[in-house]
Amino acid sequence: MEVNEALRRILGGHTKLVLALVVAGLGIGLAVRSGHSLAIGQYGVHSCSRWAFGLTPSDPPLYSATTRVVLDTANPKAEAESAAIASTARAIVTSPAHVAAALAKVGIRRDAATVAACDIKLQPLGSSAILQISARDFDPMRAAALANAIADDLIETRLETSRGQAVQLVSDLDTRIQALDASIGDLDSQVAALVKSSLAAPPPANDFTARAVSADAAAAAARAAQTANSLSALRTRRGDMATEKVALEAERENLLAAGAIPPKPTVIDPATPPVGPDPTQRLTYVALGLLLGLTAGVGIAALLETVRPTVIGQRALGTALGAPVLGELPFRLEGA
Amino acid sequence: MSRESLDLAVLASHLRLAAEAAQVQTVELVAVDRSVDLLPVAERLQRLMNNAESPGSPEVPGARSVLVRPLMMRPPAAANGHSGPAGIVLVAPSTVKKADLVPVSDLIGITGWPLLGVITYRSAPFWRRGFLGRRLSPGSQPDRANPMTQRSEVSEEIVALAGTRDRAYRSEA
Repeated sequence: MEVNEALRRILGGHTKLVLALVVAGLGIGLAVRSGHSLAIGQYGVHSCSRWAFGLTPSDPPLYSATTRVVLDTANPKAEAESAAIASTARAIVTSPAHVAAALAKVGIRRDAATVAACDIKLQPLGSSAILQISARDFDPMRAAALANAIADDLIETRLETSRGQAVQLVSDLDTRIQALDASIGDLDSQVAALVKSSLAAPPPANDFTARAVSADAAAAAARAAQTANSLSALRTRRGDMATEKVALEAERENLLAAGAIPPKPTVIDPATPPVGPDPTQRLTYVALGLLLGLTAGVGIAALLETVRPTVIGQRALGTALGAPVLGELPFRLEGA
Repeated sequence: MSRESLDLAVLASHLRLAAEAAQVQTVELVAVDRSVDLLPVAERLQRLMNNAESPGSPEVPGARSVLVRPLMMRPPAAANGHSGPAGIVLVAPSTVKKADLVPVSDLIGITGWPLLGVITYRSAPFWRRGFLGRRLSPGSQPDRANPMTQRSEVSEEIVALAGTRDRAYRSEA
């Protein structure tokens, strides 16, 4: 079968069917409108597209605000690593609980599941560790606030979940070093007080008898010995603590030098209110609808032709019957 | 002469040539769409072939008259003396389902009459046809509730024509 004949049989023999499906596809393309999923309150739906019969002209425009964050991960060496980081972050920012928290934080009353499914987008920028978060709303200010709240929530969540053993260890070391510092400070105070008290010892009485002088000397010697013992003990403890502090600080420095501490997640570019609404995708959907209708029409027509073939044209009819074509009547014959 | 008359005259001349080449005296018009009335077409072609539609045209000396008529079940007495060999001409729209040609092939095979040729006519515009290519006018729709209305009618006609052929063979013998 020639291509020409095939086209004539499929398109020419089933024009009405193909046209009907093309029109149907066009209608679908006009009816489906992405981006108008932000039905609020009782009209809330979880679908990112909805059929727009009726009230389509009154649908308000949508605004998208974007923010950029970097997470506490090592720099990716390939796009696959970047995509993996983005997948992790996406799983967090599209969790309804996190979205609900962000919505509550900025005071927006919308269905968290719908927003999470349709209006929060996260994508990596190339193969870098930088992620771009987009939030969409009918109001540009609220869109920016939502994007920033989602980014903050992402960072907090990452800090909570990715704080590993090394970070915890360093934190513990810091706590112990601070406690040692406090203890050493106490000891220094005690030493100073002891020295001061020893210098301020009471003078001997005015009894210069040999017996009295001897007793005073003995008492002073005893106090001096006691003070010296206390001072020695305090200094020994202080020395021990100082040694322990030095050891802890060395251990902390070693951990930091080994790179066990990941970079700090942070927002590198906060969202600002967008100046214009998002472009509509109506033309794309119309084109897709047309293409879909045409494909379906041609496909069904081809199937019908396979099941019940048609002979189209004088020549094809003569060939099918093995007879010459005598001519064509110059008028149309109608059935009874 | 109008364009329509001219086209029809050319068609009639082709039909006459085909009939003479096949040496038949009767041309039986068979329509694929059985609801089409072929009698007016047959009459006009008959007149044109016998130069009756153009009074100024001279009669061709020695030319045999050819009977053109729609194929229908008729008693032998209705043949009006034409007992000569017959040929079939199919009258079909330019777009036809292949399955609709099967009864015609059956008819040709059973009668043994030669198929002289095909005359086409323009199909109805697609907006006047049914959704899947069938006309939706009540008269053209076969009675689905009664399966005897289509194939059985053709079968009866085939049986009657076979009897006519047998009688013609017997008379020649």
